[in-house]
Amino acid sequence: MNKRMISRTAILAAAVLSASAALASEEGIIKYRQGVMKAQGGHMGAMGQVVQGKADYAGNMAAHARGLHDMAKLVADLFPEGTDFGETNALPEIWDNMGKFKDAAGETVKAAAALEKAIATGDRGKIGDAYKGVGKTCKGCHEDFRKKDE
Amino acid sequence: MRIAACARRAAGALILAWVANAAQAAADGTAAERGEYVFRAAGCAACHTDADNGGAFLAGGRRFATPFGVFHSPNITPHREHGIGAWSEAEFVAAVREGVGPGGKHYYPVFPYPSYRLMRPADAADLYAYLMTVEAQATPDREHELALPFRFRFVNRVWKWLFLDRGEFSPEPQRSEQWNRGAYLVRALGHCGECHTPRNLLGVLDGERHLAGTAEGPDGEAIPNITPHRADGIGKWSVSDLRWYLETGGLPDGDFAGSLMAEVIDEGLSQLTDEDREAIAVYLKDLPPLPGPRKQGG
Repeated sequence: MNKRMISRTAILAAAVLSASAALASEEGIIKYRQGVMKAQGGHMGAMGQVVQGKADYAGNMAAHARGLHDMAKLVADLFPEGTDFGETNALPEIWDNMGKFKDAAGETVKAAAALEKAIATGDRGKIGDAYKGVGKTCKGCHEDFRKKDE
Repeated sequence: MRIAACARRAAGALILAWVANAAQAAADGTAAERGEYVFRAAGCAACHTDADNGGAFLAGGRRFATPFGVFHSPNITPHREHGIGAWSEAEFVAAVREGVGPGGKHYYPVFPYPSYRLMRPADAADLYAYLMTVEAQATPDREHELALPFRFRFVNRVWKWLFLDRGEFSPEPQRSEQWNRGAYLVRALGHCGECHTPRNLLGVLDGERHLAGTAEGPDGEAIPNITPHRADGIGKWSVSDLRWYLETGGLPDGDFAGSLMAEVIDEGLSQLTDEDREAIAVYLKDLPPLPGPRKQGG
């Protein structure tokens, strides 16, 4: 093996290594943001049972809404360039319309804040409406930016 | 024997009267008001409005990519030139229920007349009354972009002759009124099977797999099985889970609907009465549970 060959192999190896390092971190971001999404889904699912009157934990609602609100604030920044490949249901429309996507993500933040306020009033009707308002923003974003996974 | 037949017929008539009454109760008032309710239950807005591109309400222009080519939904506002403003009520009812427009133009079954054929003519007439009240839009229809044999509309005529069943919805007297109302909403107005039932290569819905989902639905997306199969369908959902989903889009696990279904809920199902959503849920939970669809590529 001559010197040139060795340096070529080294360059190739370095390229492969750095590519896989980049891939690994993108994979990590995808899984991380799926975790954040599931956390929001978890709060929405739990609150849904209370709102429907099927589970009597009205006192826990504020904690769920706070958790949801905190998570929702993170969403807009979880879709950096390069995380549109691999095991993701995020549609390319996110990166084609990043401004629109961030606005849509911001709607959930606002709706979650409104839900917190509604919970503070203790009025069941207002809480139900505000909860459905959050759901509308979830759907709104899923409609345009998430691929169906079945 | 004859008494039994008579009794059956009487029971059928009773249920028919009930179905009519329920629709009436849901949207009492003028024909246009009742028609607006039919309009929501039939989910017309989602296809006939190009919302993504800022299209005007019901002015058409929404694009549908299918294995047969690209279809564009037409303008159904009462504009006399570009919409349906010059149509008579009878022409409209025939278009909706038989898939044939004024002048004998046979529609492609991308327009769900194989389901709407089950619509009661009175509901179709009310729908006409409502559509005549929306704002007219001067948006011209766009030509479909189809593969060669499908460019010729006589193909539709042959297709209909071969595959289209006739006749309106007939209630099943041995079932409850609620079940029959649900069946009417799912099979006729809601045209759920147009997406949730798989099709063969000729685009014909597979009656043996009614609502059992398909790996290749509209926009190339997988469409879920909504029969009460425990592993593959909605078998683990309760009637109240379903009713809640149809109102809010919220799944039992806290996820929220996306894609086309989010539109179907926002534009239609969320605006129906609780009784109607419950009827849909009761009907779906009573379907034969079917497995599948098999996921492609594992």
